[in-house]
Amino acid sequence: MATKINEEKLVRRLQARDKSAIAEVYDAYAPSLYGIALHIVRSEAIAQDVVQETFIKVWKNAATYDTRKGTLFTWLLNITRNGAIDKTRSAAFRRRRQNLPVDEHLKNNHKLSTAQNTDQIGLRSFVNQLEEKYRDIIELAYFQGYTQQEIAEDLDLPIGTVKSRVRIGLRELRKIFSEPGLTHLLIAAFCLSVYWFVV
Amino acid sequence: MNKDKFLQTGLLEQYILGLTDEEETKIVKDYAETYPEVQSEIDQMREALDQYAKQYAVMPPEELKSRVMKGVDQADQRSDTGTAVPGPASSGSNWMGAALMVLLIGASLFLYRGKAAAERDLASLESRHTIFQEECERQKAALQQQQQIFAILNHEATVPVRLHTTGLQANAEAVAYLNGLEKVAYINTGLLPELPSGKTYQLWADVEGEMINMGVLEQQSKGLKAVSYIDHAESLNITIEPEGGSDEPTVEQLIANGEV
Repeated sequence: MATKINEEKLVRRLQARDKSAIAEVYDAYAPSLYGIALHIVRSEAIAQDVVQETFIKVWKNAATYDTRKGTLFTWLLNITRNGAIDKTRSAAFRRRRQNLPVDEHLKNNHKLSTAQNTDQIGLRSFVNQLEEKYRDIIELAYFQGYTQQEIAEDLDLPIGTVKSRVRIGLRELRKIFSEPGLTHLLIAAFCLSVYWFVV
Repeated sequence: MNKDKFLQTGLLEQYILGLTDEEETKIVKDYAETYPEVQSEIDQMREALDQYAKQYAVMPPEELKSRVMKGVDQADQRSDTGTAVPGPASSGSNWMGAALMVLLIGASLFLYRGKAAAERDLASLESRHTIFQEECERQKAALQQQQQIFAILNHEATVPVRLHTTGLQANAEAVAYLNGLEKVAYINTGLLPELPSGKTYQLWADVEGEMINMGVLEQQSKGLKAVSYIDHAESLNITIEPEGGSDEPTVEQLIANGEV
């Protein structure tokens, strides 16, 4: 993962139309973007199309990206997410999905997302700390592009409950990721033992 | 609304998840611009969401990278050949493009003119060719006719008969050629004087005192002409007859004769 400084350099190279920069961006972020696209569209072929279109957009619109408005990854993620959601809204995609009732579809989402990636990044267990009711909200809003009204109808909840779950869910999520993880503890322990040893 | 109250509304979280409408989005952006703490909240929540999204990471198939790079190259080519990128760097290529355009237009005009000229030439050649072909056919037919006549004249059985004036008209002379074997006869009337309109020459064969019609001699056609062959003719006789010829000769108008 690129550090902030590397990222700024990378963006400058992108904006200077340095083609090797796009290859570096690909190497750094393609697995995340491909995974998200796959998670949304549930088809490897369509997910690959989404990733390709994302990088073409990034290359064409690099000049419009402003580092102050968010990280490069956030920008890439939003392009991928929107591209993938657009695909799910196409007539052809809807026809394919029509046979599945929405609840079934949501359940499948969860089943697939849990089974699919637990071994890949190791973050999964982290996120599982988030209660399912909050996860559902994030899935529908962030990955399926539903409106609050649609989420309320989909989960058969009053809209007020949806709003409060959005709020609590995101705060919980932030808490999970801002807590010092196991890695930090290990590093601290390592430093302490080195200090102990030297002194 | 103060900043803390705003943070309690939950609008910020809705905004992060893309659930706000245009108006709400503007409110959030205004707060974020005014209060750095609000912006910092946004950044932290986005970071958490980014981390959340990363849990889904899957290694894409290896060929996707080359596909992506190819797509990027193609996008570049399309924008190169498509809309011209403004700026000083492209002015050179614009100039070149304009020059190339003028050159191309010039070349196509030149080639078009060439093509039009070639088409005109071809049409003229085709019509001339047709004329030549017709002329050729005519010459061939004429030659065949001449050859036939020559063959007859040259034939060993052909006998020339010289017709002399009877004194009625001066210079009324003609030569006939008879071939008993092939049963053909020709006469050259080139030496006969011209007749007034409404009159024509007619040739007769005298067979045992009877005059048998051999044909009307049209004035227009000079030279050798074919006439009917009559067996056992003792003499050939030319009379002047009304136009179209007669069944019986007008003996008073006999102008030339010759013995066979």
